Amino acid sequence: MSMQDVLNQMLRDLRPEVVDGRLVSVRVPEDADPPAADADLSSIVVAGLVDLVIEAAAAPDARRELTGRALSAVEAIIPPARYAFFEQATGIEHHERAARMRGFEIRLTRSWLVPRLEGDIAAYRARIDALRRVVEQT
Amino acid sequence: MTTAIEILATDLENARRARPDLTEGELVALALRRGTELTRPHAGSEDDTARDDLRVDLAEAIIEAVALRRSIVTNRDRFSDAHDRELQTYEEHLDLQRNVVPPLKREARRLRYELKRLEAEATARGIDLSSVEPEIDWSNTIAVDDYTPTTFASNADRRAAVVEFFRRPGDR
Repeated sequence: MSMQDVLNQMLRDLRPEVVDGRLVSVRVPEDADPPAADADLSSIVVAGLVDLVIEAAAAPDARRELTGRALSAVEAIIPPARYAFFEQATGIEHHERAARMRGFEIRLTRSWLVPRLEGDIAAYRARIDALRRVVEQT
Repeated sequence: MTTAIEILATDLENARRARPDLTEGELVALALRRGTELTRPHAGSEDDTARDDLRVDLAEAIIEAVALRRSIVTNRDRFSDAHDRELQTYEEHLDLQRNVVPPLKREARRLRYELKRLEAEATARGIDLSSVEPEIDWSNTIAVDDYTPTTFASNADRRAAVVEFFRRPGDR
């Protein structure tokens, strides 16, 4: 596998739908001067890894072109990923809300309505039996 | 001093193919240093790789893509659980409303009719109903005399009823 292939693979794996989500734990030095960007360490590490792969994949005079191509590829990934994130978050919210509403109704039905109806039915049957006995005796 | 972070295995495996000369620890430390440099405006470069705007733009784009990817990947289980739970409650609710509650209401309605018929018959025979035990506390029973199970002529009717049920107030 060439270095360009490795880079392409890394860029392809930025698409959420192609990765399996397997995580590994790595140790990084606790930097006295933490990153200024509003990003967590793991994102910064991946940005650094891609930069290192580009450095290994191209000679200095070709790196800028490769970086530009990589940037175009990543920029093409972001809008659909944003949409997928929105879709997923909305889906979670809808499913959880629907499950909560139905769960409440199920609990109410099981704990109140069904026992009440069963109690009513038992009372009706007892009264019907008593009335039948009285009516038959007269 | 070191701190543990989690990254996707595929990212590390790919990068290790590009830099087999480095140990995992060296590679991650170098990547963090490189990423930190690129995302810190106006910071000087500490190696021979010149910092330029294109690399900075790429690093920032990757950070955004990685954050989105992580959110989506880590929320997969939650989405799956929420979907399963929604489906489970849908089926349980459907079962209650189709197979449990309607038969009970139909039986209660039938018994109420029978009870009222017998009470009318007993009254006609001169029997004092208050002397017959057990009595029914009608105010504490569930009124099912007018109960008719919901039926739909077509799936379109069923869908329309569901949409109407879930319509939010003022949402027209």
